[in-house]
Amino acid sequence: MQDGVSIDIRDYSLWYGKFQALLSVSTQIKQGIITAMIGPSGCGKTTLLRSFNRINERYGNVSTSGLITILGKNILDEDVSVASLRKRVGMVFQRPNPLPISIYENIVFGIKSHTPSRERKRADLDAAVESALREVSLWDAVKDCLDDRATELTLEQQQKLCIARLLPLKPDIILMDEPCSALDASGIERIEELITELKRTFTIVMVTHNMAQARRASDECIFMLMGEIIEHTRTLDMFMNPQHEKTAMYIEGRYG
Amino acid sequence: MNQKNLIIQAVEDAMAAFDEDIRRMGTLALENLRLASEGLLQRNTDLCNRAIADDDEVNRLEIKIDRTGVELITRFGPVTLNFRRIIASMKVSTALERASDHAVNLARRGRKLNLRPPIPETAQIKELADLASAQLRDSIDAYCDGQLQNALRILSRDTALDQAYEAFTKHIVSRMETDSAHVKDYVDLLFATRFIERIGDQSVNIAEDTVYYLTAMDIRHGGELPGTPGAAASSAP
Repeated sequence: MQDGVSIDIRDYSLWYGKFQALLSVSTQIKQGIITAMIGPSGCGKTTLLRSFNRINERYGNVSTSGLITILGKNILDEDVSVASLRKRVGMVFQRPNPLPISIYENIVFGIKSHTPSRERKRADLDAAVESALREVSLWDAVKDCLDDRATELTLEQQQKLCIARLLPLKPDIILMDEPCSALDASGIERIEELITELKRTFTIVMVTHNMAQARRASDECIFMLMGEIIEHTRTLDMFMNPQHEKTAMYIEGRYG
Repeated sequence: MNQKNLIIQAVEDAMAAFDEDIRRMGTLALENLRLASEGLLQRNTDLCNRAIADDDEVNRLEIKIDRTGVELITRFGPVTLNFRRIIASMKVSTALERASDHAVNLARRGRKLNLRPPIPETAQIKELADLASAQLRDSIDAYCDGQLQNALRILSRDTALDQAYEAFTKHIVSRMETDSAHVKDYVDLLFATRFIERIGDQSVNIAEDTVYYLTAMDIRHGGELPGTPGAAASSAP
């Protein structure tokens, strides 16, 4: 795989039962930038995003063909451990989904599931919790109530917590499925601020329905329509000079 | 990570870099005008050559400012003051590029005049060059500092420059009628002063763009700001 490519997708198709949701898509997602996936509802963007950590398989009737190479390995291979894949490829969902346990336990949950108990020390866990919460600017707000239930936080704080709990696992890629859609304007601003900070360390792939968010917060943009990638280019180029009429019509708000 | 609002901060940072480029362009255009007029007045062709060479960076900045402006509009979809500031900056950069081109043309005429024996009328260019230079400098300051009153004052000051230019032209034409041996010099001097007068016009454009940026009012071609009757006309401040 070429340098600087984080996710290499080759002729990838996906079927839900008999319905083909992705039609032999190919593209390369670059490392260390924010890539936004846009397109009308049902175009396959969330399906493609969910393929990157194989979370689609939970539906049971999913079949695929093609290759998705992450870190030099085709993640669709039989011998791939889904648990270790999801450690490298974290995910943040549309609605914040903290576990109904304490803030502290939410952060250490991932560490506990991925490291044997004899290798864990309380001091290391404490340090990981502080560092993760600091990285998402949540530490000052919650440092005195780490034992409170995470579900009692505001939605914005919950979403930050959901991002924070990925960080101790040191993922390479963070997938975000409309991470701001449950938030108000100031929450959106702060989450976008956080995402922009995070891209220094991680590759970020984000599905969004919000065109303004794609414009201001992403470096590259993938436009999808009816299971196909119509255009994948620099965000500025896509919004200034789209190469396909379908892209132009969508970003101008003429359909979708 | 700081708690500042990054979206607005990103726009502000980009705008500040934008302003810095405008400021730099203005400084270069002013310096080119100084080099060109000194080159002519001191009969120093090296100075003229420097004015011509230094125009390249002004051209590069014009392209950079336009590109940044288009990117800011595309990415952030700005409205109101920031939107006008981007549009105005792109126009101010064009005005500065033109002003610097006029300085280059002045330098070229200077090189020609320096090849021939001096004539006393050349010294009279100094007054015009000083007026144009001060006017350009103040228009750049008014834009960069967002000073509405200072911008409005440029408009009336240009009338003084135009009058000085017309008086000089009349004088040169009368010299041509009596001193046909130096007609070539007089023609070059007429062109030289024309370029200086044009630089004054560009500073008026910058002042008008400043008024647009600050107030959203278009005062070009005789338009007026509400509440300041005659501000755009020739009344003295």
